[in-house]
Amino acid sequence: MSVAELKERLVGTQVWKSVFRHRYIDSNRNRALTVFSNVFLHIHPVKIPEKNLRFWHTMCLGGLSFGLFLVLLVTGVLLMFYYRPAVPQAYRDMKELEFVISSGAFLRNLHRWAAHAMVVAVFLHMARVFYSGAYRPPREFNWVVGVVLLVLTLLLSYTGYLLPWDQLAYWAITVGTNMAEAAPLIGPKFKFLLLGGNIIGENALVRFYVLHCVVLPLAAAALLAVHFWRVRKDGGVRPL
Amino acid sequence: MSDSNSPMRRMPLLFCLASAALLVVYAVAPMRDYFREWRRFQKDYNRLADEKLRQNMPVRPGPIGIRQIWIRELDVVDRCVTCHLGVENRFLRGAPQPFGFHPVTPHNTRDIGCTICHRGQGAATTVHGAHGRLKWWEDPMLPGRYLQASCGQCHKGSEVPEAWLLNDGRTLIQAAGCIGCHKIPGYERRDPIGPVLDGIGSKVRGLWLFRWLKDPKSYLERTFMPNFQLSDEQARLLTAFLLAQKFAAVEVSETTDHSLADQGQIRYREARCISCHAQGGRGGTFGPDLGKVGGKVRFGWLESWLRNPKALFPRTRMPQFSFPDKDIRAVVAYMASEFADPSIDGREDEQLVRSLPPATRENLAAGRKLYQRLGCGGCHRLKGVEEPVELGPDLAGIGNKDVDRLDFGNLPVDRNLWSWLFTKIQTPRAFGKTLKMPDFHFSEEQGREIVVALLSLTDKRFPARYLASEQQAGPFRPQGEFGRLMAKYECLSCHRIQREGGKIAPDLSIIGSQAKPQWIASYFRLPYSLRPILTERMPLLGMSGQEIQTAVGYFQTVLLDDSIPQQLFPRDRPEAQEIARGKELYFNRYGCQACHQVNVAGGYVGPALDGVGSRLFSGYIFAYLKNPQRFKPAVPEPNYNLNDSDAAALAAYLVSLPPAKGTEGR
Repeated sequence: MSVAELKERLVGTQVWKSVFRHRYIDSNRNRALTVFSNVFLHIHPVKIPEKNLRFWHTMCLGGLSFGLFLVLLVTGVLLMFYYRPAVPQAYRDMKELEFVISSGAFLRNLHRWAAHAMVVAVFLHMARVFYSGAYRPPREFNWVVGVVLLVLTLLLSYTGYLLPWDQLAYWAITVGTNMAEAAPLIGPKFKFLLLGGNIIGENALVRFYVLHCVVLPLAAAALLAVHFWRVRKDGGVRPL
Repeated sequence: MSDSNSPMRRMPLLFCLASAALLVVYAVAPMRDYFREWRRFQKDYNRLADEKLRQNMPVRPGPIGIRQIWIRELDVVDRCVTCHLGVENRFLRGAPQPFGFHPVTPHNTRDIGCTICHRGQGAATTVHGAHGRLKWWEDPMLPGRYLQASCGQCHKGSEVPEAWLLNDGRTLIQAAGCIGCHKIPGYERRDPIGPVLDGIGSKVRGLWLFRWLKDPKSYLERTFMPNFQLSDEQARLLTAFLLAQKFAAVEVSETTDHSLADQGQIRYREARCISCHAQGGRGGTFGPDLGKVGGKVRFGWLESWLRNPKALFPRTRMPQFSFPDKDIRAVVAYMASEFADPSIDGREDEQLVRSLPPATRENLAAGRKLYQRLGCGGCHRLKGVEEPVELGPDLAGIGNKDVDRLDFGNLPVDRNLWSWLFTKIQTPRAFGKTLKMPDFHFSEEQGREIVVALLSLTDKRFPARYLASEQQAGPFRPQGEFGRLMAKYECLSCHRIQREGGKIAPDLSIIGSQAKPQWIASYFRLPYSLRPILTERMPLLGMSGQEIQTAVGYFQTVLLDDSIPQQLFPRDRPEAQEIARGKELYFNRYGCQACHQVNVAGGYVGPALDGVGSRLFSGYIFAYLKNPQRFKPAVPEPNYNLNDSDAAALAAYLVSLPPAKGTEGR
């Protein structure tokens, strides 16, 4: 049996066809079908005019932000294997990562630097959109989504700050929650809600952990999907 | 692509470079992670172990891997043993670090780990990180000279025989009156630390007081009164205020009858004042040095004092001597002539007193205010001035205070806790001119001891079973007649009874089982030294016959150890053959004559043993010979592990010894 035959047979199986619904026929229709029928590919348009790809339109800042988000997702999940959000253990687990766990320090440093870089990238991305006027209709909704994503990025960064449970963490959260407290009317209640009490203790650590690892990433992921979808729907990144 | 200058054109190149860089990172990071310092140390150790094995020493190489001591109860994870691999192997005594053997201590590393004592970062596996000399690690390793501080974390109240610096430091803190101003856990302020100042104006001369306030050490080198660095004006104000505090009952006289001096000298000697009071640095250190006391006190006061010290200062440790009035005047006359202070001149004194601010109400109020502001009341008590609040900071937790919370000013001092404490104690106002702490002029050694004691005051908490518990015996406070007697003669100033009292004279807790009543009575009447090489110290108190009877009776009924029989032999008379066997053992088997004298022959490390049978009970001699350290932990007498029959024979020989010639009357 030749390789060509084998390939033909494989591609003809029910299993193959149930996953890949289109063959490699290089036609416009088939290309479009391939993209549309794939959850990952369909974020991209089927066709992009070449002038849309100019570097200075975007400076790749949105893509960089998303790339960093993926890095953070992967390293964050790995870190979750080692980290326990409890008061005597949290700080010790930092030390274990630093001194004992294989590549623990590398992992943690990757997460930390990627987090800093993501804040910078997202901010620059917003600045680029602002200065190139890309918030104008029909992209006004996506601008709003983007702003929410920026806030989510900052919140992710902020909630992650407490998790090492060192002095820097403690005081950063002290300052942050005191600022929240200064908000009129709901300030004190909001601070109480955020900390799960009046002081930064075990409850605060668990809340920040859940926000950091579950609530905020899910929200960000959902809004990212919306954000990318709207980029396509609003005509890509070309100047209006 | 249309635009040839677009960075998009260079994208593939950039992508290639970035990928290559990423690859390098992914290669280097795990390598760095793998080749850590500790791996190199373990390899070196295994090489050393191989070498030692070749020399037939039981030092085994081990597998490469992180080692740790984990004690859940103490929350200790100490990985120090990852590199310090030889701590438990005495064949590695003196091996190059980090492989050296840990000196033997009362505690095992397996039980308490490393960082409980040494501090540092137990979780770390790098040299720099573990030793804790990092910017943000709050608990760096203690230098060896302060290490004894760690004992004090669990041994909170009790003395630690192995930590002499800690013990001395604690004693110093108590003696120097740090608790006058600071709240310090474990120290209680019961009695005033310094003298009570009521009536001070009747006691001392103005010039002396002025100079004392300016610089106490210039008069008495070993005083704990600190130097407050007063200006002349402040010192004058305070002198005037204190001189105004007079005793109504004391005659302010500065004259004395010098013709009585010779007779006074005899009384002074007989009473063995020098046992407690030095003269120009020579003599006892228990009371103040009297070398220049003639320039300090007024003689009228001295007379009242010698008559009954407790009437002037109820808490004094000075015993009351039962001198007749004539003798008291004689002693004062002797002291006035013998202990004159040439630097205190009567005219100068008058001049100074005239220059003091007049004792108006305003001036006295100002003086009182200064007295309070300086915190004199922390150590002294003065009627009419309310008890002070603690002026200084609470020292709880000072032992591991964050270095970032200390103000170093701009002094070139190492930025660590112990350097700060040491500097603070040596020069209390070094970190700022407005600081209030006075200068104690501690020696460098004293400073280090105090730092050790302070560093033991950490806020770390340990489970109860790790804390050294002290047997809580109530303080020894005899009541009734004997209690009054003991207070009058201040026995516990020097002697110790049941953990209470001084340490400079023998412990009397079981004196009733040790010494025979007749001998004790004769000793009270005329004390002498039991050891030829020691100075005579027990003062001749002049006790009445009734008082002696009371004391001896109390000894024989209360201060006993029931496990010691009084009489070892029937009617306290051993048989002749037993005595002979004992003599043989004494001279030939055990060589007791090397240290003890019998009939003026033998060594003089221990006391002479002539007539020891009339002094001590045979039962006590027996028990003492069996285990001398049971009664006197530090005694040089060797413990020969005698069996009962040898000990009894020796006791028999000893009680048979007649008193030395010429001392039968004692």
